[in-house]
Amino acid sequence: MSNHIEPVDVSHLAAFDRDGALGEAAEHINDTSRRSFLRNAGVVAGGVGVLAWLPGVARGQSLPQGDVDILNYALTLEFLESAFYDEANKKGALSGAYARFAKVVGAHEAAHVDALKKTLGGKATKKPSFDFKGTTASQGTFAQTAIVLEDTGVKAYQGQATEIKTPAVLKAAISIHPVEARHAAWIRSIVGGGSGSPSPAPDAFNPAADMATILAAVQGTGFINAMETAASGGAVTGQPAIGG
Amino acid sequence: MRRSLVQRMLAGVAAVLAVAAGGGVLRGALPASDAASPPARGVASPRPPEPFSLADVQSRKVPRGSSLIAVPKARSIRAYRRPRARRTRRLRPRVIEGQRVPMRFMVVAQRKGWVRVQLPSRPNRSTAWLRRRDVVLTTTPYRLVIDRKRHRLSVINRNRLTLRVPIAVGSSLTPTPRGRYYVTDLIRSRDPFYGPYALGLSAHSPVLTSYAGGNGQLGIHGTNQPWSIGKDVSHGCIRVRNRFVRRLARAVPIGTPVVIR
Repeated sequence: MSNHIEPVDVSHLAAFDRDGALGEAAEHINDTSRRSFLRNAGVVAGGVGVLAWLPGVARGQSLPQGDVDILNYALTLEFLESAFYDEANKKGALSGAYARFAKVVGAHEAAHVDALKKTLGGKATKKPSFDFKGTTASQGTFAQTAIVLEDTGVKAYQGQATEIKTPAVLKAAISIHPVEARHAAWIRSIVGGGSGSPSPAPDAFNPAADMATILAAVQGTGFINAMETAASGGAVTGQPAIGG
Repeated sequence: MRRSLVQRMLAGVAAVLAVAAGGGVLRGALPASDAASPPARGVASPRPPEPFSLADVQSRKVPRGSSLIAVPKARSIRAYRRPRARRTRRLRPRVIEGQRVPMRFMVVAQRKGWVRVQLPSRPNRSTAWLRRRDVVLTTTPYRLVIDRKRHRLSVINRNRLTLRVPIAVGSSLTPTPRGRYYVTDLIRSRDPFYGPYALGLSAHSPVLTSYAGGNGQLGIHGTNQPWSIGKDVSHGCIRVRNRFVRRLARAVPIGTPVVIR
């Protein structure tokens, strides 16, 4: 497994990146100089045709309802992935290539969440609460779950590509899709450790999956709770009137 | 057990996705559009686009090892002796030195449109029904287990023991009652007798009906008498060392179940 991190092309997502947050994240992720990042972004900015009408889109006001649904669907899956890597990074059970994968991919997923939320504006679905059921507590279960989640992301984006009506949204979606595919290949490669099993590129053609199938599969994992986890705290200060 | 559950879960996801992928086999020279794929752009779709609802992806199950807590949506809430009973009683938050204590109830049963909760009042383990629409349900992964005989408090997080600390419990004259209760309030104590924090419980002393200005409510609190830990000396409360009560106060949400045995 090479230690070199492939730079991620976020140029299509620049359309959503109104305040530059995604650009900053990408700069951090790719470990490129700010100058080179801006040079890349400048190439995209040259395509003013996209950027010119995106402010309206970015506020989530001129998107057809179908596209809003698709973006919220994507946002939910990105929330799921982002929270998964965030928990794995915080738990500290990963080391070496696994830890690096979780850190880099976690940053990618957080950037996706950020971009989708900005695009949807007030129409963005709220972040659900998650319970990964201990799958981030060991490298083995982390890797298995990461493979499933990344494969799911790939199939999900692919399954919606032909449903998207707004060209700018389609461009953004297909700029995320291969990144998810790279994640899937990367974690498979780490698990395989050079043995080729599981194969980073198992098939010549990748099947898509529709929204209902993906949602049912994710619901089946129980990773996304309908109920929030109660927060601690809420103390009041005073004299306890309780038995001693 | 846990590992096999995870493996089953992952296998289930993989299986569902495998079904979704079933149409993606080669038919002739080109990849067939799989069964799940919509038709190409510009071609009239035989079905409308799928609307997205977050509810479709959320699990209705209470996470394994977690318990339900009912949080009233309003400042006060109507409680029923049984679902749809005509007579009701309005529950209001306690006020301590002018501060309203957050109202939380441990859920002990559910029925369509209703939840049965344990009340923080006497008699011990009394319950009432609340309308489901009047509360928000949250979960807590924690459970506290008090072992009076061994003088131990165990903190269980998602069915895993995360902390075990020595405690003092009630004397033979003022015993700590056994049963399943919950944390009803969290008080940052000004009185060194209680240490830095006291976690009020829905349990009440079976002997004392009034104590320290209260109605004999029991709690888990710190102490300025650490030498009493490990003994049956309290008025029914559970005493822990101050450093441990700080940890409990930081971690354990109000509404968390407490099992005393």
